[in-house]
Amino acid sequence: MRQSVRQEAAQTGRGGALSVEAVTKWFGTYRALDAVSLEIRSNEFFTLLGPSGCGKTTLLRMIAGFESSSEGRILLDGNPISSLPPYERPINTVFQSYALFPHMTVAANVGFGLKMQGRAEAEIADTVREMLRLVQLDHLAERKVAQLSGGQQQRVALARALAPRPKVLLLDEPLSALDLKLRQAMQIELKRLQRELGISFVFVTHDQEEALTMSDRIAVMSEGRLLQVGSPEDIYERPVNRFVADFIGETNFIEGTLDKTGSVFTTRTGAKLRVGKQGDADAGEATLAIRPEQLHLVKSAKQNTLPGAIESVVYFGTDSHVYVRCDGGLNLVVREQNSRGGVSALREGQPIHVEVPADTSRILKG
Amino acid sequence: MADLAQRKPIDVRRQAGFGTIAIACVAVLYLPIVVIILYSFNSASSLGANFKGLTLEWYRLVFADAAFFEATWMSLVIATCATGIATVLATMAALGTTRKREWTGQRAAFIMINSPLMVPEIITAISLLVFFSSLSTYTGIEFGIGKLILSHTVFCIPFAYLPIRARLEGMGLDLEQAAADLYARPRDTFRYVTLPLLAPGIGSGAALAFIVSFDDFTISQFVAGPGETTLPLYIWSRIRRTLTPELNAMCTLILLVSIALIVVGFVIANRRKSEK
Repeated sequence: MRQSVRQEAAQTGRGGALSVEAVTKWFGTYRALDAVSLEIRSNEFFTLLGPSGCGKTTLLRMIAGFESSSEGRILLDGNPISSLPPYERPINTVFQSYALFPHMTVAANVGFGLKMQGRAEAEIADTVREMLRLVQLDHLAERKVAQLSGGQQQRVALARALAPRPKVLLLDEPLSALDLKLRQAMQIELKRLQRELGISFVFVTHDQEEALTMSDRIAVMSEGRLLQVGSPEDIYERPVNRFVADFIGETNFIEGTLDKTGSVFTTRTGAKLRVGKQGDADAGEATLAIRPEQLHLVKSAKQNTLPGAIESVVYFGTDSHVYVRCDGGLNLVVREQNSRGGVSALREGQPIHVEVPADTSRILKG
Repeated sequence: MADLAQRKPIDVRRQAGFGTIAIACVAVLYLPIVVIILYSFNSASSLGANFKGLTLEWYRLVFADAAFFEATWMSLVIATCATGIATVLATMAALGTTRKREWTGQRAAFIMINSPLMVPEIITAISLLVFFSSLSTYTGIEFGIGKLILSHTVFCIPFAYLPIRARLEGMGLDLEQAAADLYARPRDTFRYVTLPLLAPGIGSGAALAFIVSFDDFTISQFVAGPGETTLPLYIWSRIRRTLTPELNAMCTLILLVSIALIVVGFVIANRRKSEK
């Protein structure tokens, strides 16, 4: 059965490509989206990531057709869709609340889109069976949705949105109501479905870990603006500004100035650090950003180290977070693998040096 | 805080005098009805006489009274028509005031729809009387029973509107958006999603409208023409002539039918629930 789904996906072409062109959305005097432009490629698992209120759900609702844009336009495979109502867009949504029809059975929910498309009864029955098998719920077809658990309802919502074979599937924080274990299982499941079905997925979340593990590309948004679009590695290792660096994972920020050559960074206390990669900073006031796992603790001062003292050590199983207080009131977090040893010997108040490797630090504006 | 959390919530049933007040309230509500039922079997020949003995004579007289059945039929026809029209209008009004973007005058519309609840009934009654009689004078058309149906429709609308609107507000927009997302045109969204989910609200709105119409006296009294006697009007006219225990029997019969309807409704609702 799965084979046939894949074949059909191949026959009907690949997942749709979306272009969002300078879309702005005003709610009264509040600007929810500010000239957002992005390209979502065919067959891509694309994630809109940002804190709540950043405009990611508004953008998703515009792609679905529930909101109209104040300015700009949205194209699907090159055709403008902004003026089409939701029921004329080959785009389906998995709602955060699931929005399953409570008066229908599981099978009727999954078959609803096909019925509205005017497909034949037999075809609907076949597709529903296939979809329910795909999400492993075929034994519950005749149940009412109220009798299902949260995880099962989530799968029904997914099957219902996939059944009409949309070109693009929109997912609005679909995993936020599930517990950790179920969420991790569903992450793998979603990724598998996306690959097998050949549908472009646009996934909205505020959970950066979820975004990093599932996405082909991520768009980081804040206050209605697009800050950075890139692969998970791009976003994590080469954040373009302080917000992205701070929002994705844990980051140490060291303030100071960058010299004209762009290779020497002077901290507030006058320590000079050689730096490599550049973010969006010019010479002058700048911030050095570096991940806790990229810092190293060393016993004695050498090139590119900052002196300090151990404040505390927090054990996390595979690694430990070592909090170091450096000169000038600078606090750094260093993540050290426990298997490498030496962490358990660290004592509070012990003098230490933190090495800031030139090749992994990143210089950002301000 | 801990103190507050530990303190038990006030249990109204433990307040002094609760039992007495509760019993008094129930007694005031139901004793008159019990008295009517008992006296419908009383063989004494006047309404308020002492209890003499058991008889079914009054029921026999009621069943022999063609005018009683005519009036009942008249009331049923009017209530059914008025409920039907009012429920359709109320459903449309409820959709218009909850499923559209907020529009200018929406609050005013809400107040106007519900105004029959607030305007004293006697005023509505007089204005309807004046309205229909001047309409007949100018157009020369007699509206007959139509006058009663339209008048009842007017005051039935808010009773049907409120439960339907409450249901719509409780539903949120998610489900209808999900339907639209799944290729349902607005008409299909209404047919397959909105209407089935709204049905309980429409049901209780219609039931309320029916009861209010069936029960109406004031407005019917003003608007009804000759030969358009509804059940409340008929009973009233009987009281004015002679007070016979037949009235007790009539009321008991009406009560019996009402209780039967409530029981049937309850059983249907329960069966639906257990099917789920």
